[in-house]
Amino acid sequence: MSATTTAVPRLQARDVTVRWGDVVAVARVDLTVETGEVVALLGPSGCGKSSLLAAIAGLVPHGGEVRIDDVDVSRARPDQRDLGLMFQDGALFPHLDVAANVAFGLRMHGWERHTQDERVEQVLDLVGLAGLGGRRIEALSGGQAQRVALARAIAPQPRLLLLDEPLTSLDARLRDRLLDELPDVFAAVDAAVVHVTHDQDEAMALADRVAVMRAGRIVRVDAPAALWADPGSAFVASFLGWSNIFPADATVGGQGGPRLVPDRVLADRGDPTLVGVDPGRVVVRAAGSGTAEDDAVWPGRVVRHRVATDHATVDVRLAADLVVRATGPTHALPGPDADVMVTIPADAWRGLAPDPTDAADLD
Amino acid sequence: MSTDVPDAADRARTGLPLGWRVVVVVVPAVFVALFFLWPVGTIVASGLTGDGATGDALAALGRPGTRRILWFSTWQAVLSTVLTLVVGLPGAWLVARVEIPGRTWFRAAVTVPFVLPTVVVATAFTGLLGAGSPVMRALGTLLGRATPPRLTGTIVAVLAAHVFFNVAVVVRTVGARWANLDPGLAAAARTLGAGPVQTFRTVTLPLLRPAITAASAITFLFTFTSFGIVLILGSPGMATLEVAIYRATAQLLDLPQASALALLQIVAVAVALVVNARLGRGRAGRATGGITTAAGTGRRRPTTWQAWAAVGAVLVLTGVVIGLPVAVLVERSLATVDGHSLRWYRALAEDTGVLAVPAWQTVRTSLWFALQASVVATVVGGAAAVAITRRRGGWGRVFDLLLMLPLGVSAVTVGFGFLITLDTPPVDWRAEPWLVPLAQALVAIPFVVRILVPALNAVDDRLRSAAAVLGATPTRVWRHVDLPILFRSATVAAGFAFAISMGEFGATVFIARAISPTMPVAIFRFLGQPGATNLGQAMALSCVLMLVTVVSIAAVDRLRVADLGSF
Repeated sequence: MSATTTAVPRLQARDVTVRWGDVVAVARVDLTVETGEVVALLGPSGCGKSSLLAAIAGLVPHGGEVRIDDVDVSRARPDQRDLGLMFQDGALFPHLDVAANVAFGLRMHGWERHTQDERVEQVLDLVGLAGLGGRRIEALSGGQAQRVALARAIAPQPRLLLLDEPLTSLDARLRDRLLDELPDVFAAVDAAVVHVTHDQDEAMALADRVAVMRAGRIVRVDAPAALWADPGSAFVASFLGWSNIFPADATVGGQGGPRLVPDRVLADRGDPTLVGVDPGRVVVRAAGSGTAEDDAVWPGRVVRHRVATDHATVDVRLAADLVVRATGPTHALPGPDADVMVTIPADAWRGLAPDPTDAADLD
Repeated sequence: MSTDVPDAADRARTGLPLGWRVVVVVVPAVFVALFFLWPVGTIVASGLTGDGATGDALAALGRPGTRRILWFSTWQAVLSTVLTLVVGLPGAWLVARVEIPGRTWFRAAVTVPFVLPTVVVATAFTGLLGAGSPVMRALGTLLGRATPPRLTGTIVAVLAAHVFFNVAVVVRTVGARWANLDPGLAAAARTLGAGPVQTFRTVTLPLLRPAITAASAITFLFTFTSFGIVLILGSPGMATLEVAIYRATAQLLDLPQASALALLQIVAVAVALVVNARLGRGRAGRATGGITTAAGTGRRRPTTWQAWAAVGAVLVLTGVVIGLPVAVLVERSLATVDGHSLRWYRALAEDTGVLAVPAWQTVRTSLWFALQASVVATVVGGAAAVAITRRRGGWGRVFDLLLMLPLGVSAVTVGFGFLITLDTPPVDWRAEPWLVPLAQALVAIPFVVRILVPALNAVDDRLRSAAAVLGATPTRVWRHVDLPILFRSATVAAGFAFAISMGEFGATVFIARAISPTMPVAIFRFLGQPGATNLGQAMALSCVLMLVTVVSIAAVDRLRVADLGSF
């Protein structure tokens, strides 16, 4: 590559708008994805993420501009955009076998027969399905079907790989396995990847950057770690799983009681109206244990205790209307009804912007 | 600003190429306009204006005879529908709720009468209820009569044949819905204290009502427009509107009367369709309740003797209604005064005074006509189905209704319409050999459309999107996704169109030329002549026609996508 070459983003979506009748599903969205980068579009059902994906793929008419390698493809048909799309439950052609499904895009792109066969073998191997080319689609398990769908999408070596909730229809174990394997597949294709999901764990695990969508707009784009460290708004925080969101003036022990968040912390954060804290940063100990000097320590009682496979969650009531959640290793958290001391490190508090209104507005 | 953004709901990018979009609308539209709207429209127009030959056509509507025909058409159809439900509902229960060996055979056997040509059904009942019938002889002996009774020429014969013919509609339509009812709903009612009868009355029956209504509407329509059965089995005084149109045209040459009756029939059928559509709206609204995707989960083996007795009763009832006429038809085709032989089959190869050609030739003629008709019906009906599924708005519905009209307007009217419109240059086509297959195709097109529209709707739109994203142009999406997936349904539609064309009688009897009659027309001519030889040949030819029809439908059924349940 010459030194003068300026890297153009693989995908540039500008001002993209999708309208279904009177409903604006995507409202003036901008999104840029570099070659080799994985961007997750994360949001609740109906937030417009799949509509945005469909617009990028050219499957629905849209306003604004979609550029691939700096070429405007806004008016191009899907077959003219050179991309791969993996559907939620595969959308495999039922009348073709596995190999013919994978070879479909190669046929459409005019690959030679023998290079088609080679490529089919290569991608089936990549997704862990070597030797299954002759199998009928009905004979595949759910996980195999998704692997075939992925192989079919990447076979023609698309410049842009779009994944629409690819793991949603799988059971938890299969999903975890594919979460481990997908980064290797992404690394093997020279594409920009846009991955639509409503599952924050999936987005965090796979993406270089996560774009959180709400009501047709992207409200935040950032690297997963940065997003988790400081969600920025109450919507993003709660969608990521921060259940500890409080008014900045919340008090412990009723009206007139001490403030939950020290004034100096609020001042440092620019006096927000809402604050939040990562449940993983909340420390819960049995009553009477010691604590760090600077941090406020509150007595409370465990009102809910839930054990998951790799961690536990406890809800501790500090006051009649104040419950704080903490997560941590199962062995380290007190059991139900225990009297405890809760510590929230001062540097764990984040200021959060309140939720904007829901309606997507084009004006 | 928002108005600048195209509406994503308006069209999917992966639609049919523009050229094809025009073709799929224009081909069926021209076909239906030329071969249906024009002939039938001419009848309506001449009915409204009158031509003075035997008095004003509108005046014919006021004749007492016309009112009598309308009244007969209606009450016999109502009675036929009720009787069909009485016989069909227990069969639907058996198909949907009982697990016994041979259940699928039972279902297939019940379907056979529906695909039989009406002429064959009428011949079978002529054999069963006529004087020579072994069943009637046995009945005569039982009643101590010297001469066996005969029921041909009575309303009993007509009603029995109607039940035989339509019982499949009830068994398949109601049975399919019954099998899909969530058995958990009945179980819930039972746990809440409802007894078996109460559960059936308060839960099962309300959920089945849409299917029962649909099956009743279809049966009513078929029996209201019944032609071959009433013409052959009824007495000369009995006439549905269809039969009356035929007699007015072919026997009395009273064209104004025929026009008036055809007009009346169109109005009556339109009213029936509108009523059905209104009931259908309620059906659609309720159809979602209580349906599970796991079909047949509520099917059980009978365990008590009462359950076995009920199953036995249903099998005997259905066996008598379905099996006896077919068995007697075969027996009659072999029965001669000297015992049983293939004599009537051999006679089919001989010249007769009844037909201009040996009867065997009608087999070849029918096969050739039906082949052409099925190709035309599949192409035109297929194009129409594509047009209907691609235009989901108001125009799609209008087009859908237009294509359904030949089903309701009746074959006799179509045949009569051909006769009075396609007779003057430049369209003097009455002597053209392709006119019969064309008329048969017209009758088969609604069935083709009804089979292909659901199949097309079932093609997952995401498959088309997937193909497009993988680089397939709209034309190639069609070629590589839609067509291969539709191939089986199209084969089913073609097979069904073939069977319909083989048995088509109402239109063909008007336009078939004397030198090339079809099998149903030949059977009708034989039945119209006295003598054992003619009756024997009618029976034998009916057996051959039954065999050809059943084989073609069985071949289609092997593809396991046949959906006759929607009729």
